[in-house]
Amino acid sequence: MQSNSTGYKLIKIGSIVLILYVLIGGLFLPLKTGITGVSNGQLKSNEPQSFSVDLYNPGSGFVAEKVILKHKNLVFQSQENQYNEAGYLNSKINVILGDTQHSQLFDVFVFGSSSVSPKQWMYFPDAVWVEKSKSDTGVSNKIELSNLTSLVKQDVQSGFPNRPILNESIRNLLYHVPMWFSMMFLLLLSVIYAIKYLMKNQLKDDLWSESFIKIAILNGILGCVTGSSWASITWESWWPSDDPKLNGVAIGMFMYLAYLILRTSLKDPYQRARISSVYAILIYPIFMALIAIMPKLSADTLHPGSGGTVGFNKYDLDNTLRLFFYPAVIGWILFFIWISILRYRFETIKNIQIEREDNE
Amino acid sequence: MNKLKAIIFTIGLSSMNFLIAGESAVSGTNAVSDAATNMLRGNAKFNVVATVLVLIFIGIVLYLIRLDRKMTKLEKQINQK
Repeated sequence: MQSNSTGYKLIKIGSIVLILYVLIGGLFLPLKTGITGVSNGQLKSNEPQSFSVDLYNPGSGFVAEKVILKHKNLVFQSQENQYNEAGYLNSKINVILGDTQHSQLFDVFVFGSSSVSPKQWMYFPDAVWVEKSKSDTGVSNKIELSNLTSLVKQDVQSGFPNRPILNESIRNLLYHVPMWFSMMFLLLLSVIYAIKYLMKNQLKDDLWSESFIKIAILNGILGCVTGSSWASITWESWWPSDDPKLNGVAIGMFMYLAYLILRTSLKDPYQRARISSVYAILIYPIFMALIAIMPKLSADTLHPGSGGTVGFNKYDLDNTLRLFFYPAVIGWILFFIWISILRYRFETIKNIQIEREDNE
Repeated sequence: MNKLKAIIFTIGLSSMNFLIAGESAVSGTNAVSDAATNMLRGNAKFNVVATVLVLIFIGIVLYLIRLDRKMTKLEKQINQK
């Protein structure tokens, strides 16, 4: 790659523009209305109780039409809802579980609208515990689910989706996930150059392959560190070891660290290039299987989009996330290709200098 | 080079501390670790986005510093001739 070619300039400028767009848009676009938590969520049945729901970005004058506690088919509706401009929704409810039901953990559903948010359903899982009182022996005052189906979701509010547990951290989709996409792409490039080396026996192709792999490892480390800090607040663990994707990545990273050790252990440049090219080609499919295919086959995984977990695109109803996610992936990939090229150029100059010294 | 190693070592050590502190936060016994996870959870979990961006920046800058040092070494070699 010539340092003054149009392709190189396009990579540099394109990556900077795209990453700036993703940083500005991804950090300043508001999050949609949602529930971030429930306080006083320990209720007793068969007597008037109150709990409050913490709303996020509700806009002024929020009106809650319905607040509902739901556990499977067991649904209870609150009698009175009062919105406080500080962001709290106070609800009064009298739950009568009745003879057949036991104490239960309920999800909270809120249907409401404000000046900025259209009428919509919001929910928060496992938020309210209803303890069965001794006096609670009569007939349950639960309502039928069919009474609620007439309330259709009309979600057209602009902004990123507000999911329970994730909340603002959904923005990490634009910074954590592209690290892995970029790693996979750079490793693919390294395989292409390794094949090219084996076909043409030119040392510069091997140097390309090495540069891409080294930056891919940098990407992998960044992905691990960022993912770990994200997991610490959403999955409540810095390294949830039962997730197949994490285990796969740990093994994959060690395979590529072994590549670096393999290179330093061989002195003859042609032998080193040939053996490490073959190794790079061999481990790429294994790496992809470990991080992309195995998690998909697994029954339960924490990562969205694999196993039994749904991806973010299901929640992204008005494509706001997509509008930033694709530029983020392209931008970060171009940025790390740029760093790989810098590394390649540096190594070439170093090799020229070594040759010159040998000749003297 | 020794200076760089010292910097990396310090950062590594401090992040290890952070990790260990976070590990025990689940059991909720350590006051320092509670403070760390509460910081990440702040502003409706926005602080973790900021942390992620800072970590990416630190990673890239550490790499650039390494490349910079290698380049200085090469420049010295070329200028000696």
